[in-house]
Amino acid sequence: MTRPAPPPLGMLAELTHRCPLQCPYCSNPLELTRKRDELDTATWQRVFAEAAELGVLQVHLSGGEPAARPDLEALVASCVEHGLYTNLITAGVNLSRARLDALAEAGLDHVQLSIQGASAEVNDRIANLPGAFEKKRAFAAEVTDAGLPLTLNSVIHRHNLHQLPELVELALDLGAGAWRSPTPSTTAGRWRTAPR
Amino acid sequence: MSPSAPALAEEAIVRLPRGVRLREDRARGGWVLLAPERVFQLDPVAREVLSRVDGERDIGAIVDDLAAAFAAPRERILGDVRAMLADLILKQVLEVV
Ligand code: SF4
Repeated sequence: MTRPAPPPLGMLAELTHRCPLQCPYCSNPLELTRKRDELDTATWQRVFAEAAELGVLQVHLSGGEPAARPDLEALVASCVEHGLYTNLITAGVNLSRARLDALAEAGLDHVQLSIQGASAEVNDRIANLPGAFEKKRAFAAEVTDAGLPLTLNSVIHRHNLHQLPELVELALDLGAGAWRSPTPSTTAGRWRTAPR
Repeated sequence: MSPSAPALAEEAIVRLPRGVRLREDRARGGWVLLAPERVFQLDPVAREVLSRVDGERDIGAIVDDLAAAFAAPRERILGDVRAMLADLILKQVLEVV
């Protein structure tokens, strides 16, 4: 006898494929959805309402880089309106303090910041974005200053494995409540769009 | 090294930290505590205790209220509440004001 699947607890919302970083292991698909083909604000708002109705309790706003969406504040507000616990998964390089404050104001519950390495040299090489590490450090300080709980996450592979202790140190240093390493995805979708 | 549970005085005041929320789970029934990447399904006892945690009343007052509401011995409730709250503090979903 088969039983219906229980309602999901969480939903990962990939708001966009756009991202200022170019990590080689990025799980974005080979053919990136173009900006004009992304779901618009109203559609996402409907999706959040339906997800909450279905029994979803937590929404993870991700991408790509969710901050590439100018309507991120409105999307967070919509999640909050439907009682959804809202987690922002960001690379932390293109979110101004003013926007962060607006997101906190809208009711954002938690920020998860991706870190590619424990030093500027390693981080910026993997992310293929000079200056990213310093921006991430500054962003982490702003998150905790805004009173939001912070988690760091890092994909671990042979180019940053040697920095494992430093990554944990860094998380403590930045006031993160936790540091995690998600299972790295097996697709490397950025190869075609961003040859290294 | 595992952190040990804090000793909670009756005068201690606790609250849910930013990033932790208590809400009803209508789809599954019951109440849940939502925290970064975690969902705690609460039993009815935990719900009764946490719904009285407002960051203003101290633990003694919460226990008084529970003892009156459930006509149960205060000492036993105090012990249970202390243990439950200390455990939630260890799990980082509750903080002392
Ligand atoms: S893996 Fe890197 S490039 Fe891909 S979305 Fe995340 S931060 Fe951007």
